Amino acid sequence: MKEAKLLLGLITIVLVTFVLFLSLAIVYSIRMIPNVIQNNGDNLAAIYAGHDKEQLFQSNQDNINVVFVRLKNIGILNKDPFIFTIRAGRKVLKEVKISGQNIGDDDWVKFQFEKVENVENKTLSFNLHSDTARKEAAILAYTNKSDELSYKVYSKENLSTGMKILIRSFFNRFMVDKLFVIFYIAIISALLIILFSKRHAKTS
Amino acid sequence: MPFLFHPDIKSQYFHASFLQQGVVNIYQYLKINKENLPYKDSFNYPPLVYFFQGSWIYIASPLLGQPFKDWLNYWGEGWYFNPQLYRQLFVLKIPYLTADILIGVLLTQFLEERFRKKALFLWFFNPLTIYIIYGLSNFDIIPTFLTILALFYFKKKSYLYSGIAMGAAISFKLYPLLFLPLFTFPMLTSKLFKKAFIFLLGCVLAALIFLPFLGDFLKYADSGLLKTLLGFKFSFGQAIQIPVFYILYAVILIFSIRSKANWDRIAFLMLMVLFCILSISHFHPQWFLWLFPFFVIFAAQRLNLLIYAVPLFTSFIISILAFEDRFLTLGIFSPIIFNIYDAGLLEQTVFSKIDKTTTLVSAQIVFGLASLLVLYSIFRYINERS
Repeated sequence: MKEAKLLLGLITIVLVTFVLFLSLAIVYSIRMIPNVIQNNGDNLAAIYAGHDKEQLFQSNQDNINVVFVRLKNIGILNKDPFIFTIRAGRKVLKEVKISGQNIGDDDWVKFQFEKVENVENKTLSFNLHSDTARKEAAILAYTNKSDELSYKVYSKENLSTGMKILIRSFFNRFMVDKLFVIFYIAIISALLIILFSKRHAKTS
Repeated sequence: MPFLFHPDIKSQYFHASFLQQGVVNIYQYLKINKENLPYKDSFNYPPLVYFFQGSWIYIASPLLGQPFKDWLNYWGEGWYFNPQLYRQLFVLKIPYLTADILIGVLLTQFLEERFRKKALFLWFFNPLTIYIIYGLSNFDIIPTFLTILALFYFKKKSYLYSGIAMGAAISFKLYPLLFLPLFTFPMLTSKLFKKAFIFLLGCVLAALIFLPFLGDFLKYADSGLLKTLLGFKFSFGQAIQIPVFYILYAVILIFSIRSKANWDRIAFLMLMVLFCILSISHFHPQWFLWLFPFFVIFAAQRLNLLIYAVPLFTSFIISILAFEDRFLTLGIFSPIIFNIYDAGLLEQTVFSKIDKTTTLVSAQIVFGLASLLVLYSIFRYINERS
């Protein structure tokens, strides 16, 4: 009896901790909804003093607050200031400064800032530059053959909108494969019926 | 099964998919063609993994469909918008589900009737094994099943089948090589020379598949296990450095020479080796699966072992968190919440406040100490029983 309680206690603690943590993660993720995702290949463009890199994009949503860019700092040689600037035309909306040390060797680097409003369906650009970096220790940005960067743009949504977007996305993707949905629900139902009928047989 | 994803399952099946194109020597093929492939990593496993997973793709191809091949070759963002993602993840994990069930069945064969339910409960409802088998979805469940099968046949005194199972396990992963002396030494000291020979013959027969590829495997594959085992060294002066694992393994071999050729003593020795590996290395989380069935065999009979298992599991979880791989943690739920990987919750909260290296080292020390307590408790139990 003691042993059974110990087992159940342990499993309960693990499950409760897991559910709490996952809930936190969901709440956190909800506030970061994908706006634009562009993954473009394995060419490399060097960013160093006098050699900036700019990327235009069309914002699908409002309230942009995060941009990821795929960068490479070979051997973490570069330790110079690295600046990310997001613009609407010539107007600077936000600027983020980091150190080259924060950029790994093939890393999706996160540039996070206060949300930029009133940008839905607008053409924006972001610029990457490092005014003091030498060519030998340049930060490399992944690009495709048309010289477009690999980047991801996220928007901050409120809880209810974000929740709706994520749930809708999951169900839309799950329900595309109807044959599998039917099969999966049938399997789970069969397992549950077997489990409960065995328990019922035991108690009766 | 369909809702958890780690990129390892995709990379392993990506390599295995070349079997359908007639590629037999995957090591040579990747060496020549790597730069032209969308995924450029090498194949670091023994050859039976390639043939096993390649065969499964062929058998399951009517269920997987054409989108599967397109998904395998796409390594960009937005992979979760694959229209048959859930079906494909489910089908790819069917071999692991099968091995999981078979391990459960085998575990009951080692135990008396009164312990079987506890064993099944510990094995099937353990969150860590569910996470490793269906979340990380690495193929380690297969050699784990084969090592348990080898022990089962040994218990049944079918030494040829035991050897074949062990040889097959070695052809999936190298760590079962360390078990060969644990089976043979007790047989030799018990003067069961013919049986030891039959066991080794079975191993060799099953491992024959390795032979044509051995050179290429040693040349091109990058073994994480060897690196970690040899990484932690004792220094004797400046000139002599001995990997700690050699010393510990030598002690275990001495134990095995003095041990009887009983299945439970051999299971204990196997558990010792596995705890050594995990205690002294920065282990990959799926390696934990190797020891868990053996742990269940004893824990089902002596449930107070679970008290010692608490620090064991806690340190295991901490070591996962300290790994530089978001797909080991919340990223594993990406098929459900596709932006959970980029949200970087742990990086923003926990990891920004702790020193990962110190945390990892502390977790390993705790794991090592807990391992000693578990092994001591099992050792006493075996001696009390005999």
